[in-house]
Amino acid sequence: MSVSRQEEAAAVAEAPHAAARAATRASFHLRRYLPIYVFGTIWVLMIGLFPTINHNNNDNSQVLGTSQRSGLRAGGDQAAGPTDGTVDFGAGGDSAAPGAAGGQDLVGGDTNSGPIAAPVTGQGTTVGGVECKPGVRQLPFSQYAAPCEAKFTGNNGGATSRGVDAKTIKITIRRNSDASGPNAQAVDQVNKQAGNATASEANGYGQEFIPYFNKMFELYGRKVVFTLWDGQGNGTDEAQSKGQEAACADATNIAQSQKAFGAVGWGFGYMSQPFSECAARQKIYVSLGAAYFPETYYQKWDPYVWAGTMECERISHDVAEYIGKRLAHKKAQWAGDPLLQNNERKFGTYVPNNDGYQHCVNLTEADLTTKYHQPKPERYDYTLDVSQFPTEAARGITQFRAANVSSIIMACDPISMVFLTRSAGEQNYHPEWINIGVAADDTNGYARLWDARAINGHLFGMSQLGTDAKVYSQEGEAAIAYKAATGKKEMPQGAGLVYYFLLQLFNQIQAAGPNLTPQNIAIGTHNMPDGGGATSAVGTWRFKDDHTAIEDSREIFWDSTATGYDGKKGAYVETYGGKRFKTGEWPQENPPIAPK
Amino acid sequence: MARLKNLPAPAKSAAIAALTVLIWSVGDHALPRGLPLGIVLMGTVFGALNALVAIGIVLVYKANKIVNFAQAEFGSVAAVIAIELRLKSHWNYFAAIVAGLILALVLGALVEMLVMRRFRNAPRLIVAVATIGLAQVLNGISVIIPLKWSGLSTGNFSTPFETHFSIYPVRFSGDYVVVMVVVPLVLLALTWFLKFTDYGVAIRAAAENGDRANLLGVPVTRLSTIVWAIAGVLSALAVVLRVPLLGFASFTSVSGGGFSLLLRTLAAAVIGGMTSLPMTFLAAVGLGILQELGAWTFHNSTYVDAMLLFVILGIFLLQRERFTRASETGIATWKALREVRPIPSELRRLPEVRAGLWIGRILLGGFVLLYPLWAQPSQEQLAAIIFIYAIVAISLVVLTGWAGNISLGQWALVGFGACTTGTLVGRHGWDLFLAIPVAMAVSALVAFLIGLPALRITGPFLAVTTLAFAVTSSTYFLEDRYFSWFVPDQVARPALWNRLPLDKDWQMYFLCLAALVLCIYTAQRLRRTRTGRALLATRDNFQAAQSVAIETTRVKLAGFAISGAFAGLAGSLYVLHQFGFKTDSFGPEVSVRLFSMVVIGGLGSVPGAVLGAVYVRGTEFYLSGGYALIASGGGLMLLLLLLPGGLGELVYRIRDTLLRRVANRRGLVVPSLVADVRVGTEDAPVALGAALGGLTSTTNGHSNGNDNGKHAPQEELETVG
Repeated sequence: MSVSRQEEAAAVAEAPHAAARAATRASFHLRRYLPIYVFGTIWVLMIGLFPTINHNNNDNSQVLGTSQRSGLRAGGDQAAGPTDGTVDFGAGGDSAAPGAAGGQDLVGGDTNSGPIAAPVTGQGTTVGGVECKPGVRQLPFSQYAAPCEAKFTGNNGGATSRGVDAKTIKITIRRNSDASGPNAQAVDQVNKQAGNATASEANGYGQEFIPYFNKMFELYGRKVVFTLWDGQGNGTDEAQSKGQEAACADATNIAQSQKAFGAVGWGFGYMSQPFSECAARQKIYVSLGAAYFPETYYQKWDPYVWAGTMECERISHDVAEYIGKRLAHKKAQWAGDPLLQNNERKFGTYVPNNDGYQHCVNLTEADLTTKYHQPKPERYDYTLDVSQFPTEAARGITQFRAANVSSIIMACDPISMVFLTRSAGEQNYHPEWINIGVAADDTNGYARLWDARAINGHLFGMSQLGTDAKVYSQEGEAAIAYKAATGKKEMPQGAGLVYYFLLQLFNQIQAAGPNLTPQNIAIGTHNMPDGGGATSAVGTWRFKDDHTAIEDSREIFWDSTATGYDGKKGAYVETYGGKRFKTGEWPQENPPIAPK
Repeated sequence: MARLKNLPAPAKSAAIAALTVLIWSVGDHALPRGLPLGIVLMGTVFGALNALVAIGIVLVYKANKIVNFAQAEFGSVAAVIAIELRLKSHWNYFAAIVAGLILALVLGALVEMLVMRRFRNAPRLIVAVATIGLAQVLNGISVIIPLKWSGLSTGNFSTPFETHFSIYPVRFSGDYVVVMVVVPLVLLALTWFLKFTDYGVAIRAAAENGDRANLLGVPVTRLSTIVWAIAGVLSALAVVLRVPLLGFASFTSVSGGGFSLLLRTLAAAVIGGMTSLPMTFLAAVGLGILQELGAWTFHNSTYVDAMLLFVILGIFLLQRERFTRASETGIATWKALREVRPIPSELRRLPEVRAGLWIGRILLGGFVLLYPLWAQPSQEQLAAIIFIYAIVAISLVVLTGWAGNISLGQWALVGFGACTTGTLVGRHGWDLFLAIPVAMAVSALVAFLIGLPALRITGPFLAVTTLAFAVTSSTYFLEDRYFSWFVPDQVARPALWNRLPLDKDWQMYFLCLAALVLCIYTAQRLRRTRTGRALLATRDNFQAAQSVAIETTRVKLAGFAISGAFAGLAGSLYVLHQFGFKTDSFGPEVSVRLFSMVVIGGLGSVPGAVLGAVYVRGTEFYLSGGYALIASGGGLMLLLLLLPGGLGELVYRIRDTLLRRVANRRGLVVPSLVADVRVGTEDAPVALGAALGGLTSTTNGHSNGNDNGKHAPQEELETVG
């Protein structure tokens, strides 16, 4: 029965004395709010009697797993004992990979009884029929494949991990829900223009490679089975670090419904940051996860998330070294404006206004000021929102021009560069453009989209990617593998990259040994010998002390008159014959470049 | 201010000029990098371009009482065709531009005739949401056209205006001058058109009182087509003037659309009171200058985004009188929604109705309880997310549906709740059940603070303020670089009462389900309490509510706080569900999407809002392949085209049909059900109006939005107080 305020007031007024009035008031109050009091009391009792406290939570330092990086030597003796409490190693020998099954959380499948046999490296004949000896790799023509192993015989441990059984290793190819949407079509166009494969073409090339890789790599009696799956995640959102909800649901589906061991992107390419993180929580192995993050990021998601591109802290230090040794305290000779040319270089950085990238650019700036006594560069922090790229670029250029910046450090995406270069041209501002090799800025395809007035004669810097001529060469290792895989006489150009994507995945799986777990992938990967080298197609691959493959950079400059490997005009040209430099190796001299 | 107003015009101009010089001089000396004239001019030009979009918003609003969220994208299709004609087919500049503008005119008219006209009887909020879908569709088309036409291209859209001049620190081209000339000319032409042509006068008449204009023989429908066509031209003009300044890439949208632009243009439009074109122009230019000066001073745009909330609030509050008057003249009624009637009292207690209700509840309850038995873990995970969105939808029902305060920033409140719970549980080891009430209190407090200005501003003004709040929160308040002590990273899920783990998705599913049920129950109870009735009464008739001793200020603020508390609870669950907090997940687009889902479900009722959340997120999460299109902007448009009243209306229509059958079988006369019977098209509005006893005033099938939200249910008004 509800009582209005007036009725309440009347009832209170009718009470004969103060105590009665107070009691009447209290009774009305209680009648109105009794459920709240009861609920509150229960709540307080619940907190007091049955607390819900997370005793081991520390949000910023939570690390999913810490892979052991020491204890094993590539090709050497195997250390005994568990590494992180979950993985045991089999009895010694000269194995380069872990042996016995450990304490993985297995989901279904069978576990073969008996001890797991140890792999044998550097001798015998490989599963692909290659005579194995020290220094020979699993693909004998490759500079990047894992060291060769004699054909494995014995017990592989069966279901050593989720998605792994005695005969198969399940990997899901995740296709985003907007894989055929306008943005995906635009990306495909960019790839096509650059002579790369579209996602769909890359998927086709990958399918051609897979049987060959399965045949040639030592998978300890197993085959990698790839399953194409249409996820709910939105690629465009995820590229902007959004869409985490659907990305996480996709990861859950891959882990718990498909029960896959790992996941790769559509076209065998990179996975987004949101998906990589969710995948790590679901203990999914991602060979090509979020790109260009600092090593601390990968450590946080160890041992699940890996990448091919160089981690951004290393890039930051290398950029500082490159600038400090080769450009700083010298005249900006490749700037287009005589006023800039005749003065000592002044640097400006154009960088997205988000955490990871800001952190890395801060490192570069710190190195420049402390190690190379260079004033802190001017900086414009742009909003990572495509709709704002044109206006942000105009603002950035205005600031750099006003500050007489002679050399712009391109810590930005290639689409922003479209508007930056255009805006610079409009402002009649012709600085040097210093490429640091991030976000595919060092690919011909994107550079051709930039304003020629701004970049011709003024664009140079560093690149961590491989050389097109070597990656796509019909004599290169990708082409050799493609021809061997398909029996065809020529490799389509876009297939080259897919080869290297798959190579990293198969390398890691082989390196893990028969007891295939993400932890053992980490151990095996960190112990793999370096791949490639200073003049190799995609530089030096080294996982010894990080989670990313590429270790070195080359110097490039833009030549509008050069012909790219795809036969189109305008291409990056390498210095020193494409030689690459690791941290600390950059020569202290003027870049031998001639931008045109 | 008052003294300034009383000055004669020349003295007023001189005073304004002197004030401007003074501000400039002070700013130039006080700011670290000064206030260079070049930056101010650059801001003026960009602001003028935004003004074209904002003026389009005002025109459409004046004519149809629709806030057109698609205005920036509206002319983009025609504009990209003009650009392609110039770049690829090498048309003469003027020919290409004229062709593009004519096309924009035609497309604008077509959109009105083929799409918007279907919504003439729909609540205005539904139409506003339809324009959000329209924006996505147009944006997609404008990206696809150049890609298909000429493939990948970037570069300059050269114009005949190649003169250059420099004003420190910017080098201006003739194209900047063109903007400075064309935009004021367009403004003058529009003003002249509206003031001195027959059509213009008719448009203004229809804007002031559509029903009366209709009765006087003004062709309201045709006028609407003209206005949309003009809006299309304005939008296309903004694009073709912008592209020569900033460049063009065939693989990105040319509209410059996005929430940053939406906020600035919408803010300019509402500062202009959604009526005054010159004031809208000045506001857009002012915001443009502020934007450029902010970027110049801080070397980024983030701080300007953070400042915008306070600037917009300041303008609204300082000019309170203007906006109050605007609200009184009907601007606030764009919130108009159809009321959801309860089951008529004549039928409520009938056994078959009660049985039907119970069967429905049991089936629904059984489904959600048993769902995890056959659902995959990822589906359970997504279902739990939908429950969380449903809780936020309920918070919007309280705030917008019942209290009448439009919020486009509700997801930001969720963010505050998420941060609070995440930090307390994750970093400080608090009990989850202690952290949740604190999170609810924090979100309630933030909502309360947002609600303070809402005491003075309403309708679209508040919508803009809350949108600014959403932008500011995502770029500043919820960013761990600025508030690392408040914004958590990862948060592990604790075991409930240290006994029930939350590791599995089904466990989280049931936790979220329990919270949703609790929220539904609480909201339904709240609706029946004095507070609930007071909220509705205050929304429907502020003066009447005050006259029956309702403390409207307290009630309004209570609405904000209660809504914030619901959002805080949702945030607490969200941060646990996602194992942490990611600032990128709390962008303004989520708030707008949330608003859309609640509107199409039905803002007036808790079940409707939950239905909207289930529909929008469910189609997005559960459909794949071609079916996923249903979740896109196109799907949203199609749904609303088929069901202009939204999903909620469909459900209640089905319910009423069933109730009508029950009434017929029992021979009962239930007036409120009879009123829903469809009659001939010609007579429909009259019959409907008569049947509802004047509660809904539609004339000739054209609702101008002034009516739908005005009538409070009689039974509720009687019980208030």
